[in-house]
Amino acid sequence: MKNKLLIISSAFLILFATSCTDLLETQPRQSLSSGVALTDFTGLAALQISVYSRAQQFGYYGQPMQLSPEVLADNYTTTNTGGGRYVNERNNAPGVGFNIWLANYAGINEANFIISAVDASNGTAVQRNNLKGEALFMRGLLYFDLMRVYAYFPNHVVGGFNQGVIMRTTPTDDVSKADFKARGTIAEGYAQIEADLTEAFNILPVTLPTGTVFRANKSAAAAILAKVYLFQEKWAQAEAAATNAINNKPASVVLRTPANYVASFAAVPHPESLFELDYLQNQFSTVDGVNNSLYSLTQPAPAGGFFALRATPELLASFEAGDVRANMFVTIVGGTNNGFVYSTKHNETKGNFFNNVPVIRLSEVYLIRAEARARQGAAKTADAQADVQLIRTNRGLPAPVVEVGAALIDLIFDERRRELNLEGHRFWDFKRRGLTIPKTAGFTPVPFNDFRILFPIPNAQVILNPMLTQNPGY
Amino acid sequence: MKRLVTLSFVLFFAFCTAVYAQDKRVSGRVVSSDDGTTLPGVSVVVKGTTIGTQTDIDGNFSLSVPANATTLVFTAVGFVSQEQNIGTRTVFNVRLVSDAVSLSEVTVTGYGVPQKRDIGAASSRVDGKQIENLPLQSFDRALQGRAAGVQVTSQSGQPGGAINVRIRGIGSISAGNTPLYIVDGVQVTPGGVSTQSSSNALASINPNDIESMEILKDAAASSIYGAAAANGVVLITTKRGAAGKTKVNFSSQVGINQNFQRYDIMNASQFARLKFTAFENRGLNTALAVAEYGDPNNPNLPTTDWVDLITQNGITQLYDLSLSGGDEKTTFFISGSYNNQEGQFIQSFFKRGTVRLNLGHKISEKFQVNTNISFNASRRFGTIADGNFVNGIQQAYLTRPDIPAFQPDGTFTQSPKIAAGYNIVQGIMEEVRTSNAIQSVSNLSLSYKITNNLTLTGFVGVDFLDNRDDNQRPASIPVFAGSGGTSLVRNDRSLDVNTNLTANYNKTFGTRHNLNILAGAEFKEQEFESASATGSGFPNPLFRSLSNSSPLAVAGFFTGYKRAGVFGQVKYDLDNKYYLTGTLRYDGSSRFGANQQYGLFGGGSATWRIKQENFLQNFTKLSDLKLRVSYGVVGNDQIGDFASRALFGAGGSYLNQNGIRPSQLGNADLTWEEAATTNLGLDYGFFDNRITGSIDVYRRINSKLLLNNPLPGDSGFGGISQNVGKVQNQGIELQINTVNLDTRFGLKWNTSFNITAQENKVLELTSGNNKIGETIVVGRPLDLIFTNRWAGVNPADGRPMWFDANGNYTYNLVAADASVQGNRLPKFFGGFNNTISFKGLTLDVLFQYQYGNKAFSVDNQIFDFGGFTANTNQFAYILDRMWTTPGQITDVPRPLHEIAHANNANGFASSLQTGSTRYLFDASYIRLKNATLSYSLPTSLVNRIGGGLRSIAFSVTGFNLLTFTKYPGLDPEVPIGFNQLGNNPQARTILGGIQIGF
Repeated sequence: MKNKLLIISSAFLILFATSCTDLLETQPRQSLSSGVALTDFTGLAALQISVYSRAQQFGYYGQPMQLSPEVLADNYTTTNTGGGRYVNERNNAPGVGFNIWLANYAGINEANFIISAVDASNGTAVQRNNLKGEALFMRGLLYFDLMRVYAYFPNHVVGGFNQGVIMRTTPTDDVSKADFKARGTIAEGYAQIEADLTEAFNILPVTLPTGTVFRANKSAAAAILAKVYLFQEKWAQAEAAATNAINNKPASVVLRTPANYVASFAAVPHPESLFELDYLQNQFSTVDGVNNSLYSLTQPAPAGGFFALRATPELLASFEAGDVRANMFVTIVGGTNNGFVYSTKHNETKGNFFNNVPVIRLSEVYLIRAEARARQGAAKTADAQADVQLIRTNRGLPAPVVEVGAALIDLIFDERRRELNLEGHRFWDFKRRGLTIPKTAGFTPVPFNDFRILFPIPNAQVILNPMLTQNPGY
Repeated sequence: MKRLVTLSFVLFFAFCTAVYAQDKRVSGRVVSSDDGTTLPGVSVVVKGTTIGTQTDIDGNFSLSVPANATTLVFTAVGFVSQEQNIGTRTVFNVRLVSDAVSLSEVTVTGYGVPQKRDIGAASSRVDGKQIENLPLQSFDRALQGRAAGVQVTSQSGQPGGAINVRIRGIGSISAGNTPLYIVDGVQVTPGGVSTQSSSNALASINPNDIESMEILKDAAASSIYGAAAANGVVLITTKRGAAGKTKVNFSSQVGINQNFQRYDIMNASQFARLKFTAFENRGLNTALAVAEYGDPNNPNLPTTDWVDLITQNGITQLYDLSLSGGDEKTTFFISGSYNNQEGQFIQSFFKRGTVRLNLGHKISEKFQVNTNISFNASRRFGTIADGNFVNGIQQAYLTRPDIPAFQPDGTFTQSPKIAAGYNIVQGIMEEVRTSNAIQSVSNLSLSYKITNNLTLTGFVGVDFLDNRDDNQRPASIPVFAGSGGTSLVRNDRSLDVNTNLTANYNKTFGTRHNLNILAGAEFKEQEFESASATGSGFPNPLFRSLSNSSPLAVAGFFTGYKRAGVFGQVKYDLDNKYYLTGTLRYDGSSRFGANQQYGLFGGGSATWRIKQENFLQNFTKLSDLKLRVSYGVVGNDQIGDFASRALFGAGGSYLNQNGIRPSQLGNADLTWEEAATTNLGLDYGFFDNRITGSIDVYRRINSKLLLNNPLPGDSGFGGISQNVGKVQNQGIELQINTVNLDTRFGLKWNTSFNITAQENKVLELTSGNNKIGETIVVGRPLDLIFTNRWAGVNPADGRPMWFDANGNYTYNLVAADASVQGNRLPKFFGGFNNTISFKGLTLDVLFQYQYGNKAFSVDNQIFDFGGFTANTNQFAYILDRMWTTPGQITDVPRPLHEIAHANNANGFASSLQTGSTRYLFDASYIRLKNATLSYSLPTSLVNRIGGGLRSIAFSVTGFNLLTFTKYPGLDPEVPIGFNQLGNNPQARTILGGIQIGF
């Protein structure tokens, strides 16, 4: 009997041992191994989709990049129906406004994967070139936004705090690469952004075969680059880049006129968009529309929306008679928000509760060039006046621009406010000049030397990484 | 795998033809020496063999024994086992003496065939009788308060909702802490899959079908389950039939579920007063407050009691029918049950029907087949707290009391003044959130007696779950109007198969040496797949089928793993005095990285029954004394199914294209977590076992803990899973059972008390780090609470104050000011059970308690916000306690409408709502969990009724009757690791029932 037992158990053991290797074979079905994902061009192209998707998120261009700069400054304030939304931003409470550190670096890492692997992938030369251009464009944009939020601009630094953000330009494909790094300097950050956007401009076509202004393109790269130069007060480069943007714009992009300006915000894409984030209905679950859409937050939606933000009296007072942009606003009659004024810029023409989000429009590029020219002194005053004039004429204000010097620069700033309000510009326009952030009546302005001008890096990151310095005051 | 199964069948048939010595038939009856009642389910085994049977419901048994058999062993739960010489006798009438100590020696189904439990193991047992006819939707609830070392907390008061079971504390930080559940040998997957209702897969088993539950707590006992055993093992055995007359049992219970844990919130007049004050304090025009909220001086402003509108007395009905019986060759247990429990909140219910067939058949004296087939269908409606558009419970408390729920024309009020613009009564009434599950936990085993000493068993078990979720959000609810209403259909299917082949060798050498050897191989595979589709844009709210909608989104998910292992166990005892057990298992899992896919686990125990020694024979007051020591190392495989692989997964979509993104970095070294447990136990009995119990002291060190070694976020990854951490749990468990009264005239009073004190400590974390985040710190317990320190209200001006990092008062907190403020683990917990019986009348009372844990109540954070928000109701006490005059000492700040209290220095201050110790509370409690009063008609009376009637009993049961606690949140049964946020609290249940036996 004992022999039988021995035989049986031996049989089990042999059986078991010989089938061990394939016995436990199991493969995931909704993921790919890294080897496949990185060598196949379609895998890399799908990574780029993820990078675009990151820009769309409700924590980034989907909401705070558009709204926070307005309510942190003096263009917008809260209503009585927002359920607490943007109340802290209105109050300039420490640390609120932007929290893009982690998501932007995740997108940067994906772009790094593409940039490092695309040349060796199995796409055609044109495909590889275009994808690389898109990845460089998005990496530049993601880094620029990190720099805007977490660092000072080069010429306006408080207390000598010249730290930029952590610079990573190679992918984290192994745990050993995920080392602790210190923040680079402001100069290093902008150098990388300029390099990325310049190369993107050089290699991208006017439009990609697969997309118009919904994907990176030559003009968009130049436009963002112009903005990057402007914010650094590199006037001549800003002017040149803006000119590049204008000269390379897709044929479909044209300035709107007084007759069709208001309607343009219902068009998809916005006819002035050089780069616009495209949204689809399935990116808005039933609750996202109500809770997170720009439309729900900025307009009294008929069904369940929040309507959290209204235009300040100061913004409304800035419009001159005849300006068609004033027609974007509607005054509420009756109810708990009686007398409040809202902007119809973000609406729901694309689908329930949502529309696309323009990241940069042609009118902004003209205003960038106008400012860059005006700053270069008398020699370029006429050119600057012409750029402003072009925008004003197209907004129903045909009177000739006669301002010069500081008055011209002030006019351009006011023009930016009227043209770009609710598109995420106001806070930056003061920060980049080292000025106090103004607030609507009843709220305390934030002086430029206040620590709240910079936003805090997530504290967990600072605790984790001993080389990472938190911004002052946090 | 197929090869394994095929082989096992070949082996069975190969041995079928063997011929053995002539057998003889013995029979008899087993009764209790206490009261002479017959004892069903007594195991009758030929000593030194696996030949045996169980007594039927009348205590009768019949067994064919080999001619050379010498001794019969009678074993039953709660009785001293007895040996009878066979000789030439064929009839055995046996009286068993009750013995609580022997609880650790019962036969349990570990692998395939019944075998004697390792008496050196630290284990607890809950008998099926203790939980019969209680309104427990799942058996894991029955462990609450009844087993030392087992902590059970409820995640939701939803009938059939999820619960947390922790055996001997928390040993893992990021892998699972759930025990391994084995139902009749089937390794079942616990947890819930529904996205629409709190659910619990273990609700597939009708608790009334359960014969016993055995909780294996130390590694020596559980090591036969290898890489899956680190969190303890719960073995569930369902009832089986016994030869004899067919017994029919019917029971029915009807009662109610009530909401009894509530917050005291403001009525409309109080709310108007609060807002008036908040406007006044901020220097706003109070006329606006009066216009908006009503005149605070009017004590009779019309009030809507929103909470009242969403609660109900839910009707609960339970019906249960079982038949058991059989003959010498075939035994059966058949049961069916129906359970319909309406929750304490409207539109929440749990309905379940179950059927079971447990069948045993002797094909021949050598060949036995057993099967347990269970099937159940359940339906849940879970609108209230689990993923409604807004948390229903919180919303009902939040909604302004001056807003009517209905308009005069009967329609629901729509108003932006309702928080989130969402009328909760309408939301609950009109949104559909259902889960329909079909489950089966079934098995088939074939065993073959190669010799009287050696049995071979092949076993296959299946745990199948199919769940369908429906979520319909009609356009008639305003927030869903924009999308034209949406409808989600989601199908989940989980299939879990485990199969094993075991050989069991049992032999007595001479008269003193008993040897038992078990060897086996096992394979397990689980696959889970789900698919969902969402449609929107219905033509009108009456249409809810996907076919009436336009597609909005689809999603799919798959996961799975495989585990394979071989194991062996040797048990030896000498003279029933010295016991030794050793177990080894070699186990592997697809979850582990390529470099560490297989591992060796094992354990051993030694037991000394001191009472059997001659030097203790004269101590007659001592009835039993047993010392146990054990050590073992087992694994925790509850890590992600593909956690070791470098993966690119789905990542966003853009322009209708789906993206991929790196989802995790690979780690080929990733493997199981390891738990090494040392256990020292003492079982005792005094005064003829009037006092019995056990003391266990243990230390469990969980090492190779899977930790998310945090990576700097700028790398693009949040972290990587690595086996690095180490956590120690040590504790002491005390169990005392006493017979306080046992009088001749029939009055009996039993008490059972258990208490567990545990200490948890993190020993190691990722290299070079002594903490992860702020809540896991080396040298401190897991589950720390990290928050700010509340300093109270400034008596001078009513502003809220906190302490900064240096202990100074501050109005404006910064990140560095927060620190550790306690932890969520109780210092001790347990249960206290009393049973008083007199003639047919029995009162059973169970208390459970825990002490020394803290809980963070987010509810308090929201409802004690001092009138800041325009549209949310608040606790009523704010009006009595709010700061009003300089010098006033209070804990509720001066209310201010919609603005934080300004810090004069720089114009901003922290919100009152900032997390702080203001919302952290001691959550110790004692709860009268369950009281049952039952009355059985005397046998004489039942006999007179006739009609084959065997017994009639009536009972009244109450659940969650009394709670003693200082915790101000809704329910102190907050699961470890959770904040209280709109939790669905436990309901009170009162039931009346009847049990009839034929």
